[in-house]
Amino acid sequence: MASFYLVPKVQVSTPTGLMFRPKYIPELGVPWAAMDYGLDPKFLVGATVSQAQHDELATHADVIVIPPLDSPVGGNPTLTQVRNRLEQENIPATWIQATTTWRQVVGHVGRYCLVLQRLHGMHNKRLFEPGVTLDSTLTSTLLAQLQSSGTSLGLNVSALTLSTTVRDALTGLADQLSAFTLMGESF
Amino acid sequence: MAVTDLFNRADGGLGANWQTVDGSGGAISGNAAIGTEAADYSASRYNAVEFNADQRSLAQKADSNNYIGVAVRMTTGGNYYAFFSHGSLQKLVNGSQTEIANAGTTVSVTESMELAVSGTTLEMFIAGVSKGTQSDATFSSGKPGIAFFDNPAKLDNWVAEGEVVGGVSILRQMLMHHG
Repeated sequence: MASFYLVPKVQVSTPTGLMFRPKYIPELGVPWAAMDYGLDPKFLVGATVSQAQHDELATHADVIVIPPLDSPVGGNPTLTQVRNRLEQENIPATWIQATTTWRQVVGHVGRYCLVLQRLHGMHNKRLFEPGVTLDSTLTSTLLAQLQSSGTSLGLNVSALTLSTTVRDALTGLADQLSAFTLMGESF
Repeated sequence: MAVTDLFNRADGGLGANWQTVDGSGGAISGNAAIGTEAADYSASRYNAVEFNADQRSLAQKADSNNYIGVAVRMTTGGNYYAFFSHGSLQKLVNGSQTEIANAGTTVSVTESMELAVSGTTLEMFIAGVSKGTQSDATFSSGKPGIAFFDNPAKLDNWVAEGEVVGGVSILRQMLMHHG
């Protein structure tokens, strides 16, 4: 069974040249699959790790360990800590409640990844360029790029305007996406 | 129905049915396909027919060298998903490579390797056995083909599915036929 993490995206030298990869994971030598946050430097990753490998990953301050998928996030102080940690990574998290399961959290994060990947593929655009936060409003260029990315994914983009925040744009598009799979789990 | 290329022809370019996507593309060597770039990527897509966005690319590993790949949703300028014989699933965006999955195993000589894409789901196969699914939305369309890193490794007997015939994709025709 796979375990899930949020880890930094790093560029490393490999036998096939310089490669962007999830930090720590490929070196474990286990099957893994990851979704990048578009051009922003983080990955949602699932890997079939041993308990020892899991424990070692958890020692890294830049790794967010996803608890058992069907367990709830729980109340404070955990709830506030989870929200703050994800928001620090420019991942919308104010919607998370005590009863929200980790599978739901991963599902939302993965859908954000899918939107940002299409933005990357169509426009070679990083959403969170320096100075852009979840609470920034869309520029005209970004609005047009998100509209075309969303349309390409078959989504309704009519709610996007110049007064829409990045947070609302990302969640509004991602919430329309259907289930996806990662490492054999459905989210 | 499927598109096939067994690469049984004289050494040289892949021919008019193929279009270079990355580097100098693939080539024919010893009745197999081979890369053309030393210590770099080269890739070609099958350009003789149109393909549905949902498609698959399959080939046989032809020698003991690694770093041959089957690829889907390829467009010019170095954009595609490729599953390489050392178990690595990569996406190349404008030639910049990102590893997005690893099967944790390698492909043996004469074994088949396959990459399928449907919607935003990618699935890797070795010898017909699934080695995992993965989700990625970077590319929405393109054509299947082959990819290489470095130039000693060979692949053979390439097959692709998902081609459009008469404006209706083969996959859709099959669904219509089966009601």
